[in-house]
Amino acid sequence: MEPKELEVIEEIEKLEEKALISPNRQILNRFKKNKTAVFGLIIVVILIFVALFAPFIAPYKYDEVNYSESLKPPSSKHLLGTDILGRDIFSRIIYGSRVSLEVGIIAVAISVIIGVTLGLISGYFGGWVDALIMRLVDITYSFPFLLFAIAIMTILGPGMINVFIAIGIINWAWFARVTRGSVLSAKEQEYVLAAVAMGASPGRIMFKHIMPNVIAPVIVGAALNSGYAILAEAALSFLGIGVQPPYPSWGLMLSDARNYISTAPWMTIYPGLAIALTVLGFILLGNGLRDAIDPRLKI
Amino acid sequence: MEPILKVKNLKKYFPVKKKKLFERRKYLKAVDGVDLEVYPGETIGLVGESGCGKTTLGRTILKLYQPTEGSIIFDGKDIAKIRGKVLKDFRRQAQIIFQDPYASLNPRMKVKQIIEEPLIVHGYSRDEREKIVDEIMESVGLNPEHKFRYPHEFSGGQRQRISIGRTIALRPKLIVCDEPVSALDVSIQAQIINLLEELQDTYKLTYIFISHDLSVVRHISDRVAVMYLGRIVEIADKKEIYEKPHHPYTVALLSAIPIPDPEKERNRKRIILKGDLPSPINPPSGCRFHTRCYKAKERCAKEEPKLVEVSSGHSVACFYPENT
Repeated sequence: MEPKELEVIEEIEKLEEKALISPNRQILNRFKKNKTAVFGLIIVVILIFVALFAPFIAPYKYDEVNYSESLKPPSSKHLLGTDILGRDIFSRIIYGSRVSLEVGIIAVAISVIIGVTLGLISGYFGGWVDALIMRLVDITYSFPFLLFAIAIMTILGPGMINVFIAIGIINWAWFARVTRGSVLSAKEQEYVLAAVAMGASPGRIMFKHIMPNVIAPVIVGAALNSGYAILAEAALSFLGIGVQPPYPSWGLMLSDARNYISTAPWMTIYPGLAIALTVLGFILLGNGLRDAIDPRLKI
Repeated sequence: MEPILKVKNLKKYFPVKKKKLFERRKYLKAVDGVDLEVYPGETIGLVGESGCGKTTLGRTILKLYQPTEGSIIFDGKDIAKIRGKVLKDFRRQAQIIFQDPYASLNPRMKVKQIIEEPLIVHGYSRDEREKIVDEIMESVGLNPEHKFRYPHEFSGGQRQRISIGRTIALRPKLIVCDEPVSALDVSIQAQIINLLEELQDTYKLTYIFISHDLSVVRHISDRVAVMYLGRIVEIADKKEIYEKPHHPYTVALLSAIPIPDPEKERNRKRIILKGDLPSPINPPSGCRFHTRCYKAKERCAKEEPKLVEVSSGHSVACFYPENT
């Protein structure tokens, strides 16, 4: 055989091998190549680490008051300075990461569970069920986010768990819409028809055959949404209807800091930076996941 | 012999999306009055060009689509309107093999899970399932050791074997084969066809074999039905229809089969039909084929020919049939 032909054959064999790598493996490979995505992942991993080991990392307790140290600028004793009550900003930011992480996970989990279930039902059954759920989505969408959140918080009362619930029941609409869209195309797939032909129940078809194949955009959306949920929590806490003092939420810290912005800027800068970095981390991670899972997804 | 399946005046219309608000709703008449009898153990080939309703007919028979009108009598019972438990019982006895072995297997399930699924749905115990899965994999020519692999690790032909395995797991009586080999290489096609024939012998299966490949249909079928625009225009024994086609459409289709002899190939007359398949939303009046027929006369545009038996077992819907 000509050497050129051999080359071509080798090339084909390589391609064939590539085709045999499992879809999950391919996603992982694509993700690893994307530097910004890995950067986002690192930020999120650091956040998780910090939140889990907060008591070991923080030099002070978050509610440790020390009036003699009030409004001190950053120093070796207080790495990021102190607030009006002499509490250590660094320690409070460390503890505050727990709130943010919990919001990022629990609030988004609530939206995903509600949204994906309703989206599956809506897309699979169609007809009036679909119309009803989609109008509910439209209604949820039509409220300004913060106003809606404030309304829910007023009804439920302030508190951490209620923040999760409020953000969760506002964000479900997005997941419902995205899931429904994917279900509409997935349910025409022949493997779904095959499941119908064997007599599988609608529940089995929805959760066993359709859901695993429409979950990709939901995962991407969940990562992106976590960023926005953290932002929303900060906003609610800033307005005083979210997490209650003395527990440190980054939004709450900003709210405390706003009277001292010219005299003690460290009180504003560092919690603000923490929020910005965390949100950035989640969004970079989400975008990276999207590009790795399916670059054609439009989210 | 009693037919295992008797389809009478079966219709399946799909609603078409309205373009204007105050427009009368239009329907796409995919299957428009089909009569068909299928006998146990036989293979009936269903041929016709793309868009003629073969696939819709196959899927409606299996109740994957709810029929608009007509009756489907399976094993003596009309299944057109059944649901719930009775329907599930029917599902166990009638199955389908799809065309595209890439689209018909759930990419997130292992081979074992795929073949086992119908058994789970119909309440087989774990031990029974284990045994049947191994048995089935062997009988469709797969190595049972590969049962923990995912579909993407297999070639097209092997995937179609997996798909066939899932189909026969419940030991159905009737299988609709919806172009099961069209997506495969020619060399693999033969293997799959042989497998289908073997399984038919072993499990006493009845096939409705949908295809646009006339050579494949000729090989596997006992009888052949030709469809045009939602109707059956001719049905006869294989030998009869390939040697003495009556309907001009059948004649045209058969003239398109390539002959592997250049001498003959050059000298034979090929009938080339004018135009495309008319829209099934607005089918032509009278005989649906008259717009493209080389024999059409005035009568064809006005009256509709019925499917009538012209000789034993050979029915045709045409006023001016060939070869009679």
